[in-house]
Amino acid sequence: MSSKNDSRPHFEETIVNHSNADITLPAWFVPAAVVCGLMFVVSPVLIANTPYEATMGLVQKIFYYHLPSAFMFLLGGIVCGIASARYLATRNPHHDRVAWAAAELIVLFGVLTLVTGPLWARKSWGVWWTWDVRLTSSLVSWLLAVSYLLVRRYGGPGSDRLAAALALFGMANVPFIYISVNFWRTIHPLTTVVPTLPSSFGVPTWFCITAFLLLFVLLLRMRVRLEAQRARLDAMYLSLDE
Amino acid sequence: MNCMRPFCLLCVLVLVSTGAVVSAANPGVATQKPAALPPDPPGPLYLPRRDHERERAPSEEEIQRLLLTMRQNAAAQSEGARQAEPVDEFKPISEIPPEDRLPSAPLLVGAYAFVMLAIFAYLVSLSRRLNAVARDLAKFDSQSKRP
Repeated sequence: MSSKNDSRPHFEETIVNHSNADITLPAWFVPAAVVCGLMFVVSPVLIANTPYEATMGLVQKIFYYHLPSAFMFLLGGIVCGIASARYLATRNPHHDRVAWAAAELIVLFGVLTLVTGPLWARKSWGVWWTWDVRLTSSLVSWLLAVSYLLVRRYGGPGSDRLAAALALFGMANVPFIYISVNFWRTIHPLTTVVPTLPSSFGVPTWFCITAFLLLFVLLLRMRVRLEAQRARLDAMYLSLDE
Repeated sequence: MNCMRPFCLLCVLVLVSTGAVVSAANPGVATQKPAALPPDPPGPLYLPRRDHERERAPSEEEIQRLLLTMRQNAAAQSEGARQAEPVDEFKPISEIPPEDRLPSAPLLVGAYAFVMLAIFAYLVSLSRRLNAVARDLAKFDSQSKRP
């Protein structure tokens, strides 16, 4: 009994420390934001100077923003799933905040992927959309992230755990999305495309992936900060009521 | 025990030789397939006849009829190929008339513009939400400091 009482203040203290750490922006944030902004300014110039792909021509250049968006979409699914699993195991609100932030980023990068993809497909496949396994599983993952946000917004008490379970389903879908093109008949390019790119195509691709990764980290950090500030405000109002 | 060994060897020899004689006498029995196995594939449809098996040379009329049939079949095949031609044909985009070409530039510009606008809109939304919470926190602090 006494050990429980001893451990409880320590746990709360940890949560408060986490909350304060989430509110304070780290020292690397501003330099990273500047670098990220510069990379997004430079990337169109770099992409414009890459050679044309032989069969698709100009429209192939959508690839340099489509692929990094898709990678961040999948990364968001993994981050959200891991943070949710840790939240279910420890009930530490820091993990819940990370999961919520990542879910919002899944929706953002999912929209980018699901809009730029059809714009490319219209030219190279002749259709805006096809119920291909990669496209369909990506849409399912995006819908799972939207449902996560809806549960968090309108679910009421206990919605955090319900949403965490949804995030686990979303994370389970991520490897399926990635490898699906290697196992099913599909018109989508295979996963072997990126590792085999020649340097004239590979350099701008990895540059854009780095820029999008930096953007993902910065947005995640800002979004976590927002949730930490909201939690602090709620705690202050609750303390006032008591 | 030693006297049993030659006897056993003799028995084995007798059994083996009996089996060999029986199988040589009834070759069908030895090569008979179990019922569970699938039947043998049919023999070739055409076997060239030996010279002495040929009955007579084809007549002029038969040759004419054969040639006519072959000509008709060839005509039917070329007609079918001509009908299927547009489906199988691949045309490079440079050979398509301009009115049928789908321009790439609007799609490319649309994709990049959408990405930039979406990221910008999310940043604006996030900063507005952060500012709103910061404002509430400041308001709360000023209210709590009031006597």
